[in-house]
Amino acid sequence: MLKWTWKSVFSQRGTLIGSVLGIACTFILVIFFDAVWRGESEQVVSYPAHMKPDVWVMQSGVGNMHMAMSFVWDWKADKIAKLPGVKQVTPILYLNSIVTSEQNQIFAFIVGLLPDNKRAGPWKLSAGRHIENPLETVIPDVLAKISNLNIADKIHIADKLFTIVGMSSGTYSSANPVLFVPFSDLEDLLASTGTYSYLLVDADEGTRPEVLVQRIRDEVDKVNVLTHEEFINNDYSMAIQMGVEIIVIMTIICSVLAALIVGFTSYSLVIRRRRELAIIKALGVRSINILTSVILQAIIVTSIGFGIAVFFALFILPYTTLLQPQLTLSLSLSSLTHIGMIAFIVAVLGALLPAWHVSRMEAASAYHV
Amino acid sequence: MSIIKASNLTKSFGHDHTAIKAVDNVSISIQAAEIILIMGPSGSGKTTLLSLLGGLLTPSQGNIEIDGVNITALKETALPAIRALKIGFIFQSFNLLDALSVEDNILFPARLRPGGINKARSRASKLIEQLGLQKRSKALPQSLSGGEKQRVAIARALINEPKVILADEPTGNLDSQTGQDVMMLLHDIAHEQGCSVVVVTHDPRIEDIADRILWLEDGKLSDRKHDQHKWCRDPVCGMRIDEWTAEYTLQYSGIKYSFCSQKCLDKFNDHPGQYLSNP
Amino acid sequence: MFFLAWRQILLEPLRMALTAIALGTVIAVILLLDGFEQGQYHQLGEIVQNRKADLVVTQSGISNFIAVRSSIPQLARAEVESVAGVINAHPVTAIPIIYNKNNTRTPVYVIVYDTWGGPLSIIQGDNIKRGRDIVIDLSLAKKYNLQIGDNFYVTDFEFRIAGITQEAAFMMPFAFINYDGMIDLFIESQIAPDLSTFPLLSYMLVELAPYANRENVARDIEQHVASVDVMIPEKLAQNDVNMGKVFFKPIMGLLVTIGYIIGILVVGLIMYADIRARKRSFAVLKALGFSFSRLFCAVLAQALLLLLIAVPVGIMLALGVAVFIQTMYPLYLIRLFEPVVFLQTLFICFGFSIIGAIIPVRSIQRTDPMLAFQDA
Repeated sequence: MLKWTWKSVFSQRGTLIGSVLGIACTFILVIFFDAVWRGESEQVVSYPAHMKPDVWVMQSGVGNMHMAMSFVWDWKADKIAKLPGVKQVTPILYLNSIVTSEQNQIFAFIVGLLPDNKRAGPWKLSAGRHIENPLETVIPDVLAKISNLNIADKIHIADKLFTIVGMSSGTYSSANPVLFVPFSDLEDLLASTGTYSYLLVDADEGTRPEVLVQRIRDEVDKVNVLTHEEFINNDYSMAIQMGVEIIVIMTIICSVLAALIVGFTSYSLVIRRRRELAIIKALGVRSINILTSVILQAIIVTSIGFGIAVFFALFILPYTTLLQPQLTLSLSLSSLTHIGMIAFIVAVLGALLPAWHVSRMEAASAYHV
Repeated sequence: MSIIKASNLTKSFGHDHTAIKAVDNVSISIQAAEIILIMGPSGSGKTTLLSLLGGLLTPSQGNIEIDGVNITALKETALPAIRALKIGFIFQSFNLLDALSVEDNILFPARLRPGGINKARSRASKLIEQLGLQKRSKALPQSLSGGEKQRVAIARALINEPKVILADEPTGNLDSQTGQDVMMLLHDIAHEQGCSVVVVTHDPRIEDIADRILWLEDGKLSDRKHDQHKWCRDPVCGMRIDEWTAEYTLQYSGIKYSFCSQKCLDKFNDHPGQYLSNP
Repeated sequence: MFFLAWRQILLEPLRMALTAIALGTVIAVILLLDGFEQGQYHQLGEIVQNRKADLVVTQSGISNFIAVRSSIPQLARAEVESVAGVINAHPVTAIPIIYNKNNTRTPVYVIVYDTWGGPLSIIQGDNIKRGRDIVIDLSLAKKYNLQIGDNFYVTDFEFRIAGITQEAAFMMPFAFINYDGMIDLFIESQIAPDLSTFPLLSYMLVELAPYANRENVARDIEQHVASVDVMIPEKLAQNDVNMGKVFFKPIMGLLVTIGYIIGILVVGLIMYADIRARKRSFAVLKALGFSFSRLFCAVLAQALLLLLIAVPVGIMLALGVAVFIQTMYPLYLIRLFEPVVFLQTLFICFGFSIIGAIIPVRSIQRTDPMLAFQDA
């Protein structure tokens, strides 16, 4: 029976190819949804994740960076710098704003850096140099590509015109491309003086971040102090829950679609082999064996489709960023495993209708022409 | 007047040393209202010849004229129109369209003729009546008996008033009585409507209505008279065989023996004495 | 050949239902993706227009209402109101906050208003009557199970939920407080010392006299008041939509493209399976004199008929899912019937049906009419 099942699936190559491709595409859509969503969420924390101080200090009541606004007096940074166990305090100013180029307007995160502040600046330059003078900016290389910007081109942030002097790698996501500008220029834009947004605190060797967090909390009023892990976790958990409902619903719809394609394929196989199945029944094979065979066929078709989707996801999908550089994709084994489990459920659900058809089939129909 | 005139028709399949001549230098002329039977053993090329005459296959050599049109000179794209208007096909497996009712099946080819199905409706009604399908005209093929299906197929073949009907084993899937009915229908079609009928068959009962019987063997065609049966018995199993048409024969001790199958022939070869002593 | 195609479809109702639902699901997926994208643009465009201003004054160089910081000097209000044709310049401040309850964080865009520019409509409860009142978006209320009268904490400052509105954009819920509330927040809150740089005035919603010409007044304001720009709300809304397009288009475009590929494959699969199953019928039709082009027309007709059946199925399915999403997660707006996009989607579906019908065409071409002579 197993041999017959296997051979039946492969006897109608055209139907098999169509089904497998249809199923593969629906799973590619699901995987793509998941990868974009995870990729964007990971990229949202890319900047703070790369900075990796031991401790983050921010305004009281603020616990993350994405879409947040934070102000901390400058003297608090000085006070923290003098605390035992503190190796270095790196302040940054930070603003969500719209960057306007000749081609488009892009929502971006602007980081203001004090002169000679390499600690909180771009970690990898793909072109140009770091900012050195007023009204200079380093922009993500992907942003430059999609906006057709080059070194020495100008961009607007509010009413200030900045000159692009460098391009950074790994600082782009659709949700928050990170641009670097001089601290004083961002201060002007914010109309603020004497304040920072976040303080990146590095601990002395031998000082545990948790101890330092407590020390800062004890010594400095009205600031929120978090370890790097807590801070990143806050940002990531907030980013990943944005749009999660849409992702879940689209995953369900795509799974239903895959189940329908599996159902259609299995049903077509059963209908075409109606007489053969009736003959098998007439020969004494039990219905349960035939049902198992139908479900197995569905599992085979779904598995091949899912396998192609996984292959595509692993080896082809990453290249979509060449076409759409603004996309950040992240594939995880756990999400592929989840989708694999969905595929299995899809296969069983897809086999239900043809299985019902088989169960109603009469052995006597073997005699029909 | 010849409705079909085929000359020096050859059809080969394969190339070089694998080439097989299914039809070998066949010439045939079919007159209006004539019923011609093409008989012969399995694999002799009967269906290939029928397909050539119907323009479904292109001959390797030779010419076919249907109602004065040399179809071998026509382009592939012009052949469907010839088939639609000048030829009616009847198949052993009926080949009705499952989705359409009896009436719709009959009318379906009419959309290929000038005037379309509207002009063919009265003819369809007449055919339905003639073939005794009035009560079944709205039925779907799956609910029809074999005989009914073949009558629908005949009506469908006649709807465009073709010059010739090409029938492939029209009684092959029918019981004796139904087969007899279908034979009489074909007879009436030829003699009352003036339509030539070419029937490929194994069924000797059809011989009774045929004007001419042709014998095709190894791709070659020869005439055969109605009464040219020479009945004998298979010395192994005792089955009655027409010596003239028998496929398995053997000369033994100067006498020709005919067998129903290769198996009987082999048995005879193993112990001829056993069978000759007790024929 | 529509006749044969239609009868063929009716012959197997179960198969027809399965194919119509499969095809309908593809159409629903595409409609939902398009609808989600259009919903985002609509929300982005509506936020500023819902403030019902004739003109909007922004910080110089700021040309968006959402996701941007605009800060205008407070003295500018009097200067704007002194321009001929201006009746009122209503102040509005925008503060992005992160709402955190039980460690679940949500970015919320708080609009602070005084005499104009508050929530467009209150779907539950009342509008703001006192300083500590807040009106929040329905999605926020649903997400955190917040009711009218519940406390709503911004950092340590306590607001009371007075009403629920439905305004969200850029996947962010909106909330509304008045200036009393903002000043209380700034003064009484623990974060007060660090709030000196919070903007007190982000935008001004300008109310014009009936005789005033919008363009002329806008030009006059820009001439008389330093460091501000003036825009008509439609332009500001368009800028927000354009910003949203840069964000959403690449992702949604790719997803919709994959949706269309699935559509082509599904139609191709259905038609291929159907042609394979009816190979003998095609052979018979060929033998009966039906040309290849006529047979192709029959297949095309069948694909288009299936599409005609599947389109309402897809629309109903998409509508059902859209209603479900909007009811359960009112943060998202699904605009299924944006005329241009909807018609474009249907037109492309029509196209993919044709392409899908072309996929198995070789199978018809290769069908040998001699097959009609073979035993069934």
